[in-house]
Amino acid sequence: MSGCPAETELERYYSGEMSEEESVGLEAHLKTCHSCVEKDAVYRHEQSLIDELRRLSPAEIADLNTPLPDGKSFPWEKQAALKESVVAGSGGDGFSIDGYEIVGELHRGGQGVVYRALQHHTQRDVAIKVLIDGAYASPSAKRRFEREIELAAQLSHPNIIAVFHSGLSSEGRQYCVMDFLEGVPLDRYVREQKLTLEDILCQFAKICDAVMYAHQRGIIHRDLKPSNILVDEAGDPKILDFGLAKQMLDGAETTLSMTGQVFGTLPYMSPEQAGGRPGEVDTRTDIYALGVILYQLLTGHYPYPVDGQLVDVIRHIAETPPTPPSRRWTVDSGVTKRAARTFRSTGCPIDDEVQTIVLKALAKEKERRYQSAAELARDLRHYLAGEPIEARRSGGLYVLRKAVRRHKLPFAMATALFFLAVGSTLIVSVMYRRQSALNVQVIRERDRAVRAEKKAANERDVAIAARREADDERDNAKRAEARASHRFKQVRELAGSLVFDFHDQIKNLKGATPAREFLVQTMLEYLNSLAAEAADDPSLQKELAMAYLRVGDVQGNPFDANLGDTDGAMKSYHEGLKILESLVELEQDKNSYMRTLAISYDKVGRVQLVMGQSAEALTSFKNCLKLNRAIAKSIPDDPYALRGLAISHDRIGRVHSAMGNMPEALASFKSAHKTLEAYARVSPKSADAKRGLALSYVMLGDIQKKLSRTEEALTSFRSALKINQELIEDLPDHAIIQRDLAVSYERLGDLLAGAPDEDDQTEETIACYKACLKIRESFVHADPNNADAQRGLAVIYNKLGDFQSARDQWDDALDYYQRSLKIVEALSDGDPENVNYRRDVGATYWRLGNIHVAIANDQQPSDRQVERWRKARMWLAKSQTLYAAMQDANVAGPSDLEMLAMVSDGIVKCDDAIEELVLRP
Amino acid sequence: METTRPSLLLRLKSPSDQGAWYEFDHIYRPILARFALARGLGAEQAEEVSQECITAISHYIKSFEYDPNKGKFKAWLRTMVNNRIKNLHRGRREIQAGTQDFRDLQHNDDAPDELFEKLWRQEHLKHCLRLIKSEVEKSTFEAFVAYVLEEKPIEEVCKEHGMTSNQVHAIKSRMIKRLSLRMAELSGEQE
Repeated sequence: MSGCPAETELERYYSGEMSEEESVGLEAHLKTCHSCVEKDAVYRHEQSLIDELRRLSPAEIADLNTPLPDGKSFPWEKQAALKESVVAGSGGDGFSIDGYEIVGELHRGGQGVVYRALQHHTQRDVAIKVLIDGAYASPSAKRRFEREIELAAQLSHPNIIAVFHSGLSSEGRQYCVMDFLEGVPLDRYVREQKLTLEDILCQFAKICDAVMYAHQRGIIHRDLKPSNILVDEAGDPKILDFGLAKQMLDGAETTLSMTGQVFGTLPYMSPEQAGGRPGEVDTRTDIYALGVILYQLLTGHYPYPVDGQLVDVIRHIAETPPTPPSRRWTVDSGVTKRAARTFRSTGCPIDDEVQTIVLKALAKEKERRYQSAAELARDLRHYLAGEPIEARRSGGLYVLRKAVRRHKLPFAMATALFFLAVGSTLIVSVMYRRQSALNVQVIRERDRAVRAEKKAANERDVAIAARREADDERDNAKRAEARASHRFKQVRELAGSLVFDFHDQIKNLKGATPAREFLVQTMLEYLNSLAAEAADDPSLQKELAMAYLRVGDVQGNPFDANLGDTDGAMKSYHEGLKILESLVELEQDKNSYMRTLAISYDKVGRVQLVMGQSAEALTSFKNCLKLNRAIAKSIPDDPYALRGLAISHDRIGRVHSAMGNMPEALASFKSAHKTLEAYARVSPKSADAKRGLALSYVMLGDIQKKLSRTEEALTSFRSALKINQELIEDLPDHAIIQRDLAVSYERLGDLLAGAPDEDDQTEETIACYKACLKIRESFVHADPNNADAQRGLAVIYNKLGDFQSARDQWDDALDYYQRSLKIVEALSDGDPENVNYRRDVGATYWRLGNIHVAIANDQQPSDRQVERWRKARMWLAKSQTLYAAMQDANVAGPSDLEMLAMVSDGIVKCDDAIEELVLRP
Repeated sequence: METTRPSLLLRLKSPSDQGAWYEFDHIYRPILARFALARGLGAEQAEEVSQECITAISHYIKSFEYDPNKGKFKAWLRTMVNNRIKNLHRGRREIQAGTQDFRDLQHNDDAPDELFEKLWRQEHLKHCLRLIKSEVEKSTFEAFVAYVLEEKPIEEVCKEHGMTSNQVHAIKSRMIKRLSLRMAELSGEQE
């Protein structure tokens, strides 16, 4: 071939239309010609793009007709939910408020959108904050929020930008109006203006005054951060969003689940906020945020790492003591001092006193922070005036010393965490030690107080001084005790979450079993010791019960990665059950306890089932049913309650079915079905409910089939199929529903295949099997390495083969069996030890042998018939060899031995037939 | 397709660029929603999850300043949606612990990354196709869809659109090049 190939030639080459001879020449050229190498790469890339395009489903191609978004013709009606995050900005088509003209968008955040607007009658420049719907945790949170806005509207302070009007927009969204201020965020202002330490502290004192003013009127900011503090042209700081922040999040159960909403402001969160304890938020929460802001202004850094995983950041906030600001300070990032004198040779202007102030504001425990913004402002002004600061007078060294002392324990924790990560399990013991260290400290300080008192009595000369000392010591002891009890709570929370979270993380690792066993053991010791103290506290008891149940899971929940200690699991479950039984007796939160108890009965039942204790399992499931019935009765039409109830019925049905009590099983499945119908009725849109219904039809059909009620079974399977067909239309990508659909086709096919032979049924059987086949093929195509998918496909090939074989459609049957054989042989080759795979291969050989026997029997005596018998014999012999090998390896079960006998019989028959045919004259 | 066109992400930061949000939403909401559905959530929950993610992104894009480049956007999006789905599953575990179908849900978690990858790719493709659709003659696009996507025989396509087979081949080649370019733009390979 001379010269570079034309594009059409390439196309022929790639589409395989080119003769081999031509191709060889072209390939040689492609390898050597530079410009063609590149062309080749482009071509391959484009070809892969085409392949990808061809994989788009018809539905997706149809979807291309959806118009492109242009901001005007956006399908609002279709995507109502979208409005919340993408509201049309300057135009009026998304949103409008009477009396204001929206002129632009200022900011868009997790809570809502801020617009710039003009108030018609005053021509005043305003900012309107529109909150997104659904941001409230509950209706009560919403009411609280509205009340707080009313209060905030009454704030009038030169350093606060207050809301002056609020209401509901025409779309029913909450909005607040405030003066528009063209200011610069505080941190940027400090950076740009290169403010000195004194300037910053001076500004900061003003901010503290404003915060104090609001606190005195009962308003907590909750979201103080530099971007919420703007500095105006005159250089005055103004705080925004008082009363607006996070109120709506307060009722939320955990912070973690609200990730998106808290992300932006995370670094300024107090430990009580980050730890998800909204009940503990008070004015001192704002003090903490002020501390973080001041720290950041002075050093240019956060007090602890705030990037990385959310959980890590939260742990840093809760645990990591702030690095002393002077150590984080650098010339480039930090503040400078106006005066020539500097504190250290590095030029760092942050001296011990400023450091003390910042660290006191940043104390993890609220009690140890400044108790009011006024106190913080006062210390800042003392410092600026060169007077001693109060934080120092009341034991500044103490604070610092404490900070250092506190340093060691979290450091130990961090170390322990590191070890955890590499497979050790020190954490709980570290926390234990930490707890006992605190206890020891309490005792020691008490002792010291006592001793000091004695000393005072004995030594009259120094009596007064000594008594004062004793008072101090006693105060310290009291404080230490309070701290200890607070710590105890923290330790409890941390221990639980760390042990379980950690366990969840390592449970799938190979070789982690000893570590997990150690965790369980430690956890049990810990729980047992806690149980003694929890007697009077229902919430603590529930926590305990849950922990026991969770430990039970780790020990032996057969549906979780577990340690295989079923006895231990039962024991833990029973501990949990016992506690919960006593809690259900209480009137308060009865439903929640009942639900928890129901869940744990269910768990116990399942473990018992796996242990072969069917009767006990039945009792557990019946207990569960009783509770679920009570729950469903107390909250009628609740989808979750109905779902739970249906599951209980279903479980009982399955146990009965496994025990052979078919009529009872049928009754239970019928109850399950009825409950699921109610569930589907109350959540008509729920795919889950529909799936449940389909599943229950399958269960019903199975039992009806076993009871030979063929007509009823047929109706059940058809109903299941119909539901799944509807579901798949809505959710074409849904793998589980595809799988369900395949199963319902298969079930219906099985039933029809076993029914008396009629032409239309034959057609339907094949149609069902083929529909199932198609889905299973797509599974294999999507995930070629999935052995289950492969086996599922082999099964349906065999079923089709069996059916066709029974109808004397030999060629079809042979073809299906061959396809099945290809799959099962490949599986077995890939995993030769796997007995199930070997069994599959053996059974397929047997099927192939049988069909040749059948064909031979169908033929007239001839040479070809002999040939058939020989083929049959070959397959049966292969099967025999395989089962015999299994027998030799001691892995053959009773059914395998049966097969071996059957196959051997078949071989004898083949030999007889061959002999007769060959010897026939 | 490791990164997302930086300009789109940057444009999101600009409050005045409304179009960026539409475009963004148009590409990524379907990915999130379809992923959530395929991972076993109901339609309502899937909608909720994708809404939450979009909200979080809008929040993140504007006010998250520490290190916007840390981690690829796709990985971030995937982690975010996965975490939300897990949270929902965890919540459900309480109520339906160990039921057959719930176990199915858990077992279906085999290859979520591949699934995400597939949806990511598909939605980007679809978006680019829509872009191209708006740029070319209607009949050109239809012939392209019929010949390349639907794999109709060329004679049929020619007859339907009154074109010669050479014209159809040329359309295919031109459109694929254009698509390739668009995809590269969107993924930031050329910036």
